[in-house]
Amino acid sequence: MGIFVIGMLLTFVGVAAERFHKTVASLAGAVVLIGIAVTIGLGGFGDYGYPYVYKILEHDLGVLGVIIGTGILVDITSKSGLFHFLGMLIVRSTRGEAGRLYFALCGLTFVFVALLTIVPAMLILSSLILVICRSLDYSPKPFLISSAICANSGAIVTFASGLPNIMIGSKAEIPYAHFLIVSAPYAVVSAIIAVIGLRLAFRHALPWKQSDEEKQALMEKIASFDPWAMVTSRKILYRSGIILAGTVIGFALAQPLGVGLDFVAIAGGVAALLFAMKSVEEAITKVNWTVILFFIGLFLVIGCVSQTGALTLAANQVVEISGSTPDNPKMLIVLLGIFSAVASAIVDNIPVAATLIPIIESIVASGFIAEPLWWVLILCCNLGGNGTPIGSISCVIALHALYKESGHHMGWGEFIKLGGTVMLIQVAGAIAFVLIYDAWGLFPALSHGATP
Amino acid sequence: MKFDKDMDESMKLFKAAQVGAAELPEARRPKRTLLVLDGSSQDLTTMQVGAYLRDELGSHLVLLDARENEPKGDILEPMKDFDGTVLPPPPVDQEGYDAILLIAGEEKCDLLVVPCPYERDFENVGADSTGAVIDVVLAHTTIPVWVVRSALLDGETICSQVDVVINRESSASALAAAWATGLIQTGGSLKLVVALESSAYTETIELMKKVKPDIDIRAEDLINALADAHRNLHTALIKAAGPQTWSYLYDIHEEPEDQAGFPIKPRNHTLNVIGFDRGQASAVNQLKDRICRSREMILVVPG
Repeated sequence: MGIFVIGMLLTFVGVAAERFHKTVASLAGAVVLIGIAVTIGLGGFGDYGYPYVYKILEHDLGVLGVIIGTGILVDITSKSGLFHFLGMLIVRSTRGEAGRLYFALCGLTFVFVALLTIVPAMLILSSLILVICRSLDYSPKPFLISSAICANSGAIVTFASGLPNIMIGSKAEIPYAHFLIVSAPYAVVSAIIAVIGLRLAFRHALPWKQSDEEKQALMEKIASFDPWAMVTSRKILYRSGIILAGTVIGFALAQPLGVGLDFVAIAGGVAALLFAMKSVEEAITKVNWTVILFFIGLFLVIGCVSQTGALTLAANQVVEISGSTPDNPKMLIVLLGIFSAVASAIVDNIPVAATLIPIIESIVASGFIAEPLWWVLILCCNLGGNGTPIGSISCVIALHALYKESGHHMGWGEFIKLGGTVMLIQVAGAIAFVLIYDAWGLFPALSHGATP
Repeated sequence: MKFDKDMDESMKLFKAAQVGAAELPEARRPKRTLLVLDGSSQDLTTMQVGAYLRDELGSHLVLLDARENEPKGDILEPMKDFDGTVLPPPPVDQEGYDAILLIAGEEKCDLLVVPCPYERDFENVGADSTGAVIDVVLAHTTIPVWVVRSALLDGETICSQVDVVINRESSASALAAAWATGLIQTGGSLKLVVALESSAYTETIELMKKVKPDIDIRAEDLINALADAHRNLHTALIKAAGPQTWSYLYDIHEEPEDQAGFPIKPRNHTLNVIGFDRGQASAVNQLKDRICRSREMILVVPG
């Protein structure tokens, strides 16, 4: 057991360390641990030999299907210029005024991340912010940082808004619609917390009050941007929008229709390839294969470690430390929330989610109610990313853009003062939110692992 | 950082949106059109063009019948109730190009429809020559010239597909677009084509690399620069398109070196509209080459 736990921890260190590509780290960990597992006939490997690898992966094929399908769809939709068009349209409507622009960009980030996931949305928003700020002569820093922090709120809106959601939602079989009932409302609350907090923090960073002459000058500058200039084909723009909307609706209807979310994602991707894309080769090449391989490696590492019983042991330890019982899980919820948030602030939230999923499964198997545990994990491992400059890819992208644009290197201290403060309030709010929902019986029941 | 390239591309797209007020020049339609018949197989197409201009756009037609032989069949057949002006053949000692330019001026025409090659069938001359007549007409005309190359095939219609072709910087691009939007059929398909022929820049890039070996410039950069220079036009066209007007497509591509030989991507007979700055030798050569290699009609709009 010790070797496998050490192997898993080393893999996580490799994933977190910048020296290694995280995909290489996870695959290397998988290769080593599988080799050992097969050699010593660990658990299922003893019964099935090497083919047990396929048994481990078969449970996660749905996640991979969602990543592939949404990857194709998001790339094609982005290429149609739809989100660039919408972003510029919204920005123009603010007339360039600092206050309106600030709130519009935060709101846009929230919505775009909910629809596109963090990376594509942040690339669009960061580039939009830089271009607009250059034109209007604003400092990009408040916009970039606020956008990055609001992005992590957007990431908890739906099942497909973030990779941890996809992993947790697939494993726990959480229907898409449940996200709209549970996490989406808190996503809005957490975004409001972020916007209020950051608006206060940046109260001297932008000219919040502008004279009429200044407003007129800004309006003339912003009017020089025409959203249609970015669109190469109206037909493809409209088709992309329709296919994206159809896919989102499909996600919501997947469970009643009896199909998996991966089916809907792949169907959406295929529709985009058929109706909204010129180059199929280019679209498929753009699927994030490094992420997929990273997941495969990660699932295999966790799968091997699960066979040792280490994660069950960890689950028991967690329950013991919390002092919780199935009748009174409050401290367990608090502990899981804090741990997942802090861990996500330090390392990528994907391995955090991947490790905590089997632990929560063990806890649920021992008699605890599943819903509050899954939801606190979803909320906190996303929001935890606001805690440090490396906690979330949105912060990494925004800080890199800020450095490239202005040469300003935002230190850990400065960021933690902003992001860390927001994160503390958001995570405290998330834990309280989950406890209230649990106390009032507001969580929709899951079809399995539900309330006993 | 691995996202730098994606971020740069996204920024380029947003920067390209800064086009200012994108207004399309008012659509141009011919009031008086000079149709030239030369006895070649292009004559039937010329009359079909005339019929379209008269019936759909209300243009008054001036017909210069320069055919030397007895007319074969009733040339006015495509045009019922011809009510335009019919001019006799020019004197035998007058060159075709002189006659065309003179009459166009006297009749105050604002569009010329001229067959090319003049007095020869397209199938005989093919991609080898445009002929002296069209060369001189293009060199001296101040009004657009509709160059008729070959007969329409069954099912092909006039101006259901119109391409505005931009293959170099030209002061006449916006005017070319105005003519394209004026001539296109309602419900037709208008395409803005930004295309650089590799012969136009390969040698220049090689020379630049000799001057500055570490320079990193590719065809893609030049094509994108040409597209960016005409982003305003694209924006105006995409906004003007719609179910009541025409559908719009935007095509940016590099035309490969071995595109010599013809035809240039024959499709349902497309009218290619090209802005043309007279006085630039390279522009003249490029235009003549394009006319040579095309069986489709080309509208040359002088700047």
